[in-house]
Amino acid sequence: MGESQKKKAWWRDTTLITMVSLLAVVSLVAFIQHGVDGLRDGGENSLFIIRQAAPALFLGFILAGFLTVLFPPRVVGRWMGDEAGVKGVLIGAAAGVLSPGGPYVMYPIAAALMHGGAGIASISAFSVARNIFTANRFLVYELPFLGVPLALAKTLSTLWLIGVGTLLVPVVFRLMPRSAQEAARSRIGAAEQEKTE
Amino acid sequence: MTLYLLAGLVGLTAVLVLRKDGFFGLRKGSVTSALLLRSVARMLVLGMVLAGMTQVILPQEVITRWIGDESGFTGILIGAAVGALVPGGPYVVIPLAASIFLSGAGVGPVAALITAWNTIPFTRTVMWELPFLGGAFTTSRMLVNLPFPIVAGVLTPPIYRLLV
Repeated sequence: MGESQKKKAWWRDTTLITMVSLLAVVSLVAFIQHGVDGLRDGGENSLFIIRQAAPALFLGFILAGFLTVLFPPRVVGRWMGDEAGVKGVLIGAAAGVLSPGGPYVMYPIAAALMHGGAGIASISAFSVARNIFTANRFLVYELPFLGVPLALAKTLSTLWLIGVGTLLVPVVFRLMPRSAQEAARSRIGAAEQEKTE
Repeated sequence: MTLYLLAGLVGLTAVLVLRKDGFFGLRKGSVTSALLLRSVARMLVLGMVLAGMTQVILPQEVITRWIGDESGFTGILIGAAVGALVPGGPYVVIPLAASIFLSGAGVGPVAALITAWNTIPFTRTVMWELPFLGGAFTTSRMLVNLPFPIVAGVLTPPIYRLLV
């Protein structure tokens, strides 16, 4: 997980560079608009956010670590690969909700599943659930930062879309040209090998 | 309340880990947690500082006018477009969304923004989903997910009003 990212020199890390540049631009605008006061207010806001979110973040990361031990990505993948039909879809959705970590965890799992022959329905369930509701994201980021009413209201209003997505994505996938469907499956293996090399 | 809930869940999973793999499991879990934290710690702090700074420069009148509670469907569309285009992990986007919300954005547009970032993100789709899962799957998923941010923008405000 993220091995290649760790070894990269900081100045080649585009995400970091983008972030630092963004921060520099925003700070500059704050300085131009409000002078030193603007920077001080921004700093105070940041400290407030950090202090408010830190305990939940800390607990959230511990939770993510334990979840990885309870449900190792490889094992979950095997469950999903073996099970067809409704059970596979349910396991897929549950795996999506529980899977911790960023895209560098999620997409390799999904690709391995697809390459391993898991049904398109289970992969859709995994992918859609992972996008719409992730336990870790909800507990670690959404609740502390957005507050209970907004985080909960947003979740309740979108949760049912997991079902909609799981049902519709395979239908649309089968409408794609056959060659594109085949290409999807064969390309996965190549992408995976590139990433792990 | 969040903290108690989280602490309870940590306790529960710790017991389950202990029963599954004993103390070795607990140690492995803690090491994984530390690695996860270390891999995003820098971005996390930067994201929160960015959110704090952005709050200072966000022009409240503009936010209220374009994506405030009165902005209606246009506000939801703007929120969804911003969410689809904004790059970065939850450590950047969620604090930023919270800042925008505090500066006067409406519940609908903020829900649309977060949902768009979750379901139809431009950079994540191009950088990760397309190479890993291929064009046919990615296109199918994107097409189906396209209306989701609008649904979130429309349905979240009434539920929010019931909860506050």
